[in-house]
Amino acid sequence: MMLLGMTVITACPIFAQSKEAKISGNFQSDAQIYYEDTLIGAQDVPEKMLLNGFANINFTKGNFRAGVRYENYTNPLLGFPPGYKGSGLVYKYAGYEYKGLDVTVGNFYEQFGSGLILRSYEERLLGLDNAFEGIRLKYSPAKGVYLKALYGNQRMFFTTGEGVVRGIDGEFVVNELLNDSTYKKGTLILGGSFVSKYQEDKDPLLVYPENVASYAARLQYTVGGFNLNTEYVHKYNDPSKDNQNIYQVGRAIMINAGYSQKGLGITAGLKSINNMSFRSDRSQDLTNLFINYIPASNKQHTYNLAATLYPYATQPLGEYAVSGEVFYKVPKGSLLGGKYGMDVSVNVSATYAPTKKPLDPTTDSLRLGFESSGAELFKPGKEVYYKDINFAIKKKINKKLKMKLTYINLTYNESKTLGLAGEREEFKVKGLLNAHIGVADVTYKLNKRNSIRVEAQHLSTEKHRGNWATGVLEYTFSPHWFVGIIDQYNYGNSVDNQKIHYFYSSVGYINKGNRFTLGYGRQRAGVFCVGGVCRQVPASNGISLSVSSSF
Amino acid sequence: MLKQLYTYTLLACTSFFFVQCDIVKDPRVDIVTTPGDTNSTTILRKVLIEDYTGQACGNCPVAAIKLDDIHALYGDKVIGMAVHAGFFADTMFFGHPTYGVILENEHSTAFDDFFEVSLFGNPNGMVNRQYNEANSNNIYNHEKWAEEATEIIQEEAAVSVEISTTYNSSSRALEVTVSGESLNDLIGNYMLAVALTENNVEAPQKYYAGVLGYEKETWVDDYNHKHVLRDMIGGTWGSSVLSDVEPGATYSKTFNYTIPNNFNADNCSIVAYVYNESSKEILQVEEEHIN
Repeated sequence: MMLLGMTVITACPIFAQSKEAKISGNFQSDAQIYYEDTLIGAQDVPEKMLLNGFANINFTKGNFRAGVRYENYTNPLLGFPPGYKGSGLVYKYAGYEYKGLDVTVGNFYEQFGSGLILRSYEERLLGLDNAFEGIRLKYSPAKGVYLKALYGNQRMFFTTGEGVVRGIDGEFVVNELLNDSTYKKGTLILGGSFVSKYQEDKDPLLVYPENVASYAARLQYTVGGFNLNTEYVHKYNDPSKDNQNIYQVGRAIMINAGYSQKGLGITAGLKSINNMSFRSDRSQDLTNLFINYIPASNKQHTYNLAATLYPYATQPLGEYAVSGEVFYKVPKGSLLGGKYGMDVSVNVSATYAPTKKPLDPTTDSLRLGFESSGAELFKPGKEVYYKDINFAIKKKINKKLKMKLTYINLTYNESKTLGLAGEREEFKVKGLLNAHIGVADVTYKLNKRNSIRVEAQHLSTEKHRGNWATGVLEYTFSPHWFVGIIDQYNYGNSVDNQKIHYFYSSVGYINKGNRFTLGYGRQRAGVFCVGGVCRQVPASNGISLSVSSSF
Repeated sequence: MLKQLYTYTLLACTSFFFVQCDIVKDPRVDIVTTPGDTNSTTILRKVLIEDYTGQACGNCPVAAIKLDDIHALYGDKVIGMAVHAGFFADTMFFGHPTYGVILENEHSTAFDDFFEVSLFGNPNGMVNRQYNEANSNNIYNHEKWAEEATEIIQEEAAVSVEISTTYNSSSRALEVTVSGESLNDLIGNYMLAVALTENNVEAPQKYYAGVLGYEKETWVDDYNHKHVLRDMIGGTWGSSVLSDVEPGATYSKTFNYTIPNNFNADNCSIVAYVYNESSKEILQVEEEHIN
């Protein structure tokens, strides 16, 4: 009678419980030699060569698992948080599963619901790692009930943060509680979380709350091709460096709905947050010691000009974002579809300031900062932070040739994301920046082992540095080798000597789990984002070597 | 029945997690006694808080206000110094007139290059240049200054610093004598550095959108820059005064200096500090107005 295929969002790990011991891992080392290049603003690096490296080793046997990670930054690559100088065994864990109880001690990553209340993860390329160091328990006391509890500190570079985090999460798959006629059609999952952090108040100027609590409630409903996912998070007074020490509550609401059937997918979402920066150390900044994670509402582009020039960084202090996407597969044999069919996708997102009514500081003795009510989460503020409309068409022309065409229209509010903070004075952007980007990406398969990919990108804008054109050529030969060249040309720059070619070439060898890449050339300054969390990458000119392997 | 008992016990256990929440009704602090107030004649440490800033750093006014708050709380136990250095202090990139006032100088740049503060980000600063384990450097962000200062001003000083000045306003000649003695065993080499700071310098300052109530990015031309590091008398890093001594070892140094015409001598002060040459940590600091 029980519904079988139950979808669990934050699933208990289903790892292969073999009796044999298994060791696995991976390794990567990135080295870069830097040359000074005043034309593009590449600074002189005293060490000449900088290196990042890490290795993961994991061991599993039956219900038991353990592992370590070693990281080395001597010294960290340009653009990485300078706090990473040094090396050490930064991640170590042991765990087992016994009669439904799963225990992990040491370092671990975890996510409650969408991550709006708690998410610890690592994004190596951003230099972000807020892993927990403590104890985590997972337990399912009854069918359809999944509980998680954790407590510990969080990682910051080679040490742990001051604050202690405690959290509990419960997920309830409601199906077995509903009667036949209702539950046969859909799956209903309810979830709730409670997270609190403790940090001593040693500050003589303000009375800080030492324990700061937050709770979340979520609901997920799936029926047929339709799904609905919502979560609300509430955070109690959390004065911090981020919000300039105000005692107002923080709120977040996220609603995602989608429909999918064969050949068609539609999603729409609303995410509105206000005062939701939640760290285990109230005095920290940048990407250090975040307890929660604000999911990105805008599409995370991968093409170079779209992804690194004007990307949007989510604003934990507040934003109101709506987004929608339609994906359609034009059927094979139709006029547009051709022999193989054609994929069409349209994506739209718009992010605004939150509605925040500031209070007069002279009468605001409670330091609330602004008025807050739940209803205001559903009203966007006036200021535009980011808008993005993009279309993409993917089509296989014949057995050898396939292509993808993309158009992106961006509206970018630099004063919010400060992505151009270090920019030269003549290129400073006032007001909103609008950019049109077009990309043609064509792959041609010469034979079974060799293929060529050509990519042409163009960005046009009236502000900042003007128009860009990018060309990419990649040639993969034999199954193991590849060679690539990329040139980004800022032909539309208003300053003649800034019409620069950023030329970069690379060669690589991939064999089974091993990969070697060697690159040489100029990389322009930009912003690198993953999931809406960004870091600035300074311009550089030099040679880079990367070695990675997994076993 | 057992299953229900089991469920309720489980819920009761999980409710343990629900008790941790502090709601602060009144954020103000009631100060009864300021730490560091003692009746005895023990000399306690004073704190030098260096605020690394720049006129084009739109977030930096927040740190300056923090320093003001700490000063209002601790009075002369805390000595503030604004060090203008790095990208945001470079007038070439302002895109805004300087009105002839340049706050960056060779010494502020030398300190910034050595401690790599602006590389770490602005605003940021140092508290008696002590080592910050969390960052693996000497840098503290402004939210940490108050708590670090509170700890330091309760400690006994290992060396004393006294400043006396004589100033001739017509010739703008300044004579500074810094003297003191060791109050503890001092192992290692200790240097004395003497800084000239100017208070209430009127010069532009940028505010980013959203900072301290400014809706749009704004340059405020008549911003009051407080205790700006203007010059180092006797060299950026000073000179050696005490080396491997027992308590009671004295030192005294006299400097002659002419206050430049573009400094307002009425607003100038001498900040002298004794620091450990290898760790750079400041043992004791003192400030004296030149008039």
